[in-house]
Amino acid sequence: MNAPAGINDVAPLLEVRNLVKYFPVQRGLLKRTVGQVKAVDDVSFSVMRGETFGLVGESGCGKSTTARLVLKLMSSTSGQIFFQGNDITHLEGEDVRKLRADMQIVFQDPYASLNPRMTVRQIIAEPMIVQGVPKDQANARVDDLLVTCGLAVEHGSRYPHEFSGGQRQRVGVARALANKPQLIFLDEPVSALDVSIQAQIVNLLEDLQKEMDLTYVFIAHDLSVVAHISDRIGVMYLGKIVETGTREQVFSHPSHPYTKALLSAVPLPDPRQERERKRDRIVLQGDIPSPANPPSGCRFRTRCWKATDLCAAQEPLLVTPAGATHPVACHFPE
Amino acid sequence: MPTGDVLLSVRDLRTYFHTDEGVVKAVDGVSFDVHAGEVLGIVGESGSGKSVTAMSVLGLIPVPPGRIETGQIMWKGQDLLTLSDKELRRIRGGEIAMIFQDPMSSLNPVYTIGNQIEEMIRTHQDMSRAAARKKSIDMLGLVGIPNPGDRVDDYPHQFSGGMRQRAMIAMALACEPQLLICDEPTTALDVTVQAQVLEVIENSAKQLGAAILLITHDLGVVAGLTDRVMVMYGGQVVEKAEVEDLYYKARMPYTWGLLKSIPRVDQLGGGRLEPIPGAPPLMSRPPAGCRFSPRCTYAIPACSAAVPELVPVGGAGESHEARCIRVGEAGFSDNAPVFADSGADSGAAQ
Amino acid sequence: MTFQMHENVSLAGDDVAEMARLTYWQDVRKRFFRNKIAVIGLVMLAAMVLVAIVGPFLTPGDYKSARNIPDLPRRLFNEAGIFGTDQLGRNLWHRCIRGIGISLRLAVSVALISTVVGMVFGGLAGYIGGWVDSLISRIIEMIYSIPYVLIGIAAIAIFGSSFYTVMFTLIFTGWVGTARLFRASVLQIRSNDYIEAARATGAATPRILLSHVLPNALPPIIVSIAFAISGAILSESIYSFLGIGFIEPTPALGVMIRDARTQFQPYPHLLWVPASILIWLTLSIVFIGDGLRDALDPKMRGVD
Repeated sequence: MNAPAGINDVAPLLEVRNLVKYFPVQRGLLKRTVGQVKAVDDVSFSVMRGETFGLVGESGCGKSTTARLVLKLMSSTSGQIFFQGNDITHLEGEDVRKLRADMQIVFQDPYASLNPRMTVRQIIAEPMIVQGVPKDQANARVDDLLVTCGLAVEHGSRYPHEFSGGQRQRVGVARALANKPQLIFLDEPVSALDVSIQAQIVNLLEDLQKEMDLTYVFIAHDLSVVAHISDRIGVMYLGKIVETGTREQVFSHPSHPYTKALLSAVPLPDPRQERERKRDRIVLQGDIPSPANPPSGCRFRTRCWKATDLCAAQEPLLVTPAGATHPVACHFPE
Repeated sequence: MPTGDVLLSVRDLRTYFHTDEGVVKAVDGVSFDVHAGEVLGIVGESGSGKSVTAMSVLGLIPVPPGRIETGQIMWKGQDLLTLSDKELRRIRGGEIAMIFQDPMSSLNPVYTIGNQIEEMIRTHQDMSRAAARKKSIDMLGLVGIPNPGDRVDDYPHQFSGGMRQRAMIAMALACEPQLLICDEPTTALDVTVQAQVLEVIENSAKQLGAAILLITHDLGVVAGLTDRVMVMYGGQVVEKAEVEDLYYKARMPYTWGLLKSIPRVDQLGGGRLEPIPGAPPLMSRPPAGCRFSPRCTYAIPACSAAVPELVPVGGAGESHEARCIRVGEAGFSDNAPVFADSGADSGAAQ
Repeated sequence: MTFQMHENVSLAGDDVAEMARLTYWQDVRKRFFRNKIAVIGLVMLAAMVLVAIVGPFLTPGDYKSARNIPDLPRRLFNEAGIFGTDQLGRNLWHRCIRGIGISLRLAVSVALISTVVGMVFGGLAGYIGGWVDSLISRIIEMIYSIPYVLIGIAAIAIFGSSFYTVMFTLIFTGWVGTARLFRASVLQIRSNDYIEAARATGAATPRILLSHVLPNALPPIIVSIAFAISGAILSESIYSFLGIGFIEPTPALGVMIRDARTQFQPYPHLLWVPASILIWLTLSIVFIGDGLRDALDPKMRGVD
């Protein structure tokens, strides 16, 4: 959970402790609460300044919800969020608005994330206008941002529908950069793009990170992209972090069975290697359980080949086992 | 080298869409064969025409605004384009079946899965209801759905995403078609579910002896599943080869670009990605000459003069073709991406 | 703070430069005017409006006085005028053009007011959600389930018959349709990422509603205004016909049709003329509404 030995103890830019979000399940005319969807259940991690933290997991694992909780686009059920050392968990109103200048997000769908009725210039300028930046200053910065993100100044007067997916995503990135944020959440920023365009955007993000000293939380289910861009990783399953560590630790020496299954399932663009891997491929049985009714104890036990009674009885904690290099939540880690 | 007979033979297929903004040449001169029992992959990005090609084979193109302008689609000797609707319907589902990306929109929510499979069976085969029901339960079992006897009476919404895709596969294979066309079957699925579904497709098709035409943009999926691959760009086939030749000995710059731009989960932080600059072309106004030339790092003036032909490369005969005028140049293929283990002794010359 | 541009994203062959440079509204206009039926509707309506406005000046006369000129045949085209006279000797032409004016004025004001009311409630229900949505939706359902004729009868019984009673009743029953439509629109828009993006920049709710939700929710509302107008014309006529709206001597079209029922045998034109005008009016607006709906439909952009 903490930076590996060798990094000095600079305080993390973002620290999340025991974050919980339950959504009530309501029935009936009077909307009685009959259950809870445990979307995020006791999640803790920290992100150091200047690094990229990759949050991976499949649908329903809670990674997107976690991002929205940290960004305070949603209220959390319990837990704490620290940003730049300050507890922002219970901020409201004007304080939250000021916070938004420092924490931003880039969305997955380049078609839905830009208002079709606004010009590109208006879209990029909006965050600045909202924060009270004078109009001419905002406009000048829009020009800079367009060029920085690989577009041209003339594109400012066009509408989103006139652009391709990759170009729209660049607009989304430019918008996120408008107020010079410190931390940017990237929620599947390249999944909806063509393969040859994905690499363009990934490179752009990496360059911007270096030049502007940005910190990223990169959320994705595409492990290949995450493996490429992240420094540290958190693997989520059904609302919990099951393994976390540096990229090398998690991807080269995965300890948690789910992480192993995940890595084994990713097809490699290499026919010979892929055919070998297929022989040993771990194909999980069964479906992902519903977050409204997660299995007792370890949530992964219903699909895990190592599961025992202990796994059903006791939930494993995210700790670093003796002799291991990074934290994992499993009774029988590799 | 594929050994089976040629089942499907597409020759010079051109499917155009007539829209407000002009004629969109979605498929512009595509030819390929599918042999019995083989797995042929069609790889391409959006706008490459791969899905339209598949839909054209089965006559699923909406006729205005689309139209198959020219071409032949020979299925076991018969040109599908000359068949009447009725004859085509007999072949659809019965001999050639198709599965799509989104199972939820391909399955009718108001009928049980069993009903839908039975209907499929009884449309093409003379079977009693009881026999059809038993067959559908067998098919559900074949695709790995647990308790098929119970689940056959469930509705689509009672299945999870991966299960629904399996149900679709069961439905498609129910009449034991000889060719299964899969259009981005796992794109919308999580990676562990994708692994399950691909395994099901491969095993059940093999068990029934069906050939597979797999359409995808995912080069990883293609590497694992296919025998031969066709790369499409701008409505044309730009490279065609056996799978190992395509990855390790690609000859077309677009293929290189694709291979160099994808990150690999086993190559952590393996240096900067090399993207292909620009964006895929608008098929309403394709570029002059080679469709890829505006984005190609190796383009020379002759590239935009005329569309290059698809020519065989090296000594591979017909089995490896590429559409690039520079393919014969000495040393040009040194620009191909290097794979750590692709060694020169890969039983190449094929 | 400018940097070197990263990998110049040359717009692949200047595609964007030459792509449809039409703004959304230009495209809408183009598609509307290409729709023959819509243009016909527009012309029909324009003709009606012209007649209603200019008519009284070009052909001055009065619609109220009943002149019992015994030898004036009660038929179409007599000396009194184009449409002849009715059973009381009143000039049908003048009654009709006044009738058009009444119908249009009423219908347009009803449509606009009920649309605004509907947008306010529908917007609140859709955007805020929760108990606000439940409350407003239940109210909408209640009003929706009562036949509007009954509401009209109740209103007349309480407030007596007048232009304003009819208008109020029509607004009271009319806002619910728009509210449901707008609520659905707002709900759909709210789920788009760009709304969340706006929240993530720190924009406050009023700004989001005005700059983001409203411009995108407007197109279906425009269509619904058109249909609200035609609906109001018909509803008002039905009220008048049933005797719970306008009454004599107001020359509302419904009133004239009602009167003509008893006079049908000897004087069929007393029915045909106002009925035809009613049909003409309603149809023209429906044509326009249909045309607007097609023109505004984003899915049909650029498809022939």
